[in-house]
Amino acid sequence: MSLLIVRNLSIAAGERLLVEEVDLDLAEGEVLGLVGESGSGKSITCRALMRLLPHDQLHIAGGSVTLKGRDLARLDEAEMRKVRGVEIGMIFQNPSSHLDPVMRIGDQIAESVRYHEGASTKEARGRAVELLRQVGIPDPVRRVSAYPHEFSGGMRQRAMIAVALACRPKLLIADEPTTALDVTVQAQVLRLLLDLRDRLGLAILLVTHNLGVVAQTCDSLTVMYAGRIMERGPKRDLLRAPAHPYTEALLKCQPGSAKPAAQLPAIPGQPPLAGAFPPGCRFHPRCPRVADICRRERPALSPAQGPRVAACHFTSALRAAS
Amino acid sequence: MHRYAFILTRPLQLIPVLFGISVLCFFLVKSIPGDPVRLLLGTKSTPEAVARIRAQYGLDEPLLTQYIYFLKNLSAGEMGHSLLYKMPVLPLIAERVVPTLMLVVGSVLLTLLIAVPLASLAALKRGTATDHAIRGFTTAGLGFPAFWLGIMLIIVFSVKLGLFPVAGFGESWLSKLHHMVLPCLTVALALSAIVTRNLRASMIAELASDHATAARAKGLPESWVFRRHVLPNSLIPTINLLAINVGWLIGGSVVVETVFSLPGMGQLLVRAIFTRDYMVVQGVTLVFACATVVLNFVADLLTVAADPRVKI
Repeated sequence: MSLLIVRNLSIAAGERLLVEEVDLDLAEGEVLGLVGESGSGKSITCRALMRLLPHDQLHIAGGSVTLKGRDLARLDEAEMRKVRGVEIGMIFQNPSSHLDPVMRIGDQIAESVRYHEGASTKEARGRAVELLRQVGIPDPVRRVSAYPHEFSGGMRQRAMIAVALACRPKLLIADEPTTALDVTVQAQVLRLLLDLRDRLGLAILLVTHNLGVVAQTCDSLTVMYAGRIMERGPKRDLLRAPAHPYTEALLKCQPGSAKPAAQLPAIPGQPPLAGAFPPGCRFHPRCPRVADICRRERPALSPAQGPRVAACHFTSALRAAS
Repeated sequence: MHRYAFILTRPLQLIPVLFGISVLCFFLVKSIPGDPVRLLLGTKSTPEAVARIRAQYGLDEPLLTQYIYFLKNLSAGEMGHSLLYKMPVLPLIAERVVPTLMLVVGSVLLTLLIAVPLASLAALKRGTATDHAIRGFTTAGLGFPAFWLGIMLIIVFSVKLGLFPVAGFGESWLSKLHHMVLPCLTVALALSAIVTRNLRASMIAELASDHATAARAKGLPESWVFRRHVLPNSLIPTINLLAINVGWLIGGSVVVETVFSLPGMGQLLVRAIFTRDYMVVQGVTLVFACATVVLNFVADLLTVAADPRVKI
């Protein structure tokens, strides 16, 4: 059964739609990758799920976010606070700036326990030590009193995971959790996330622009471009035989897929600016298979193969060609 | 090295600073135009009398010799004699320390008491009428000179409303505090204008910061986020701002003490300058300079206490 069901979610800045018709399904213990270039709307989709959009600029324009049968988009702020941190934990791209520099790590973990569960200072501290141990921080009894600047980048991300899991949420939203880390540490953090998924039955929404990260961790994938979903399906199928030219282009840009010493291919052009999306298929200005119909008509998400859906006029043709 | 180790090493660094201060104090005072002996004896004094007094105070010696005497005496805690008050400078200053100290400390406390709530309100209600009203207040506070503000406060609160004494300093501590309210308010209104503006700006930045977002993602209410995360972080630059203004604060006390006839060091200094009371000017300047150094040290201490990242 799905833990999180997002249907038709759109996010707008004033009148301009930045994200349209996003559907996501996430089951317990599943890792769903949300992939796309910078500016494709991944991060604001995550913020919208937490209802943490900067409310003077962005708002949810439509759709539903159903967590365990409740529509989060309709909750009031007080009810939503009981969801944040308690039912959904969130970790961010840059652990250095997302931890309070002048508060002890332990207090940052403990404060949500103290607020949500009314735990005493001592109990909350005990939980903080336990969580630090769980995320693999050595010597947690001493480190619980450390400040963020005394931690390395990887340890800060571990600490942030501990902060997000303090009240034992079932869903973790990880917004580019490894982007700011160096490669060896990236692998450790991803392994930790998978390990936590196995031990705690955590569902993880993993936002990334790195398909290498996806290949290592995710069960299924959703590819976004310019605020819309381009393709969705099980990871294995998507990576092996992408149904959408955009997914295909992303895969070609992976360092591993190019010949050694050859120039790394890039997708020509720039992703469109938010709100200034081209008509028809949004990817058409950069698509190698562009045809007249792409400029005129927007392709709907349609079944491509098995459980997979893609928004391309030539999905079936692609399949035939491969 | 321990973060607080500078408490032990700082006094060593102070030695050259204090030496520089003594040189400056001595020669600055010497460069004030006018002859103190003539001022003391009047214009009709005989040249013999003038020469006798000069010799008595060592004023006929070369400047360097006078400076060495000055240092020698200083090291013995002896700052010379006041020509006007006919008593040693040190006890003269000691009598005047309390009002000035109360003025400086009281002003800083009152500044924080005014600036923190105002800045919080302005930052949380950014762009609203409240924010604009507070900005108006800070602009006014920056625009009005301290002596004018002091006189206005006297007119309103002392003369019209009779809430506070017009001038002077009380006998009992309670009465002293009562006398200090308006002078402290005068300084605090000007200082809180600067502090409010800066604090509001850093609060707005902190409210939009990543770690505040992360705190909201924990499900903490806005008031908690503000109190535990935004406030502590935005107070750090404020401590530095206050430290920078320490010199201004001490200089400002001179004007305010004059307006309120507070028997403090500032008033002593002004009178000493007018009467060319060299030794007193030297003494007070020295004490003010040392106070600036000490207050900067206190500010460093507070910065280290407030920000775990800082090492001095």
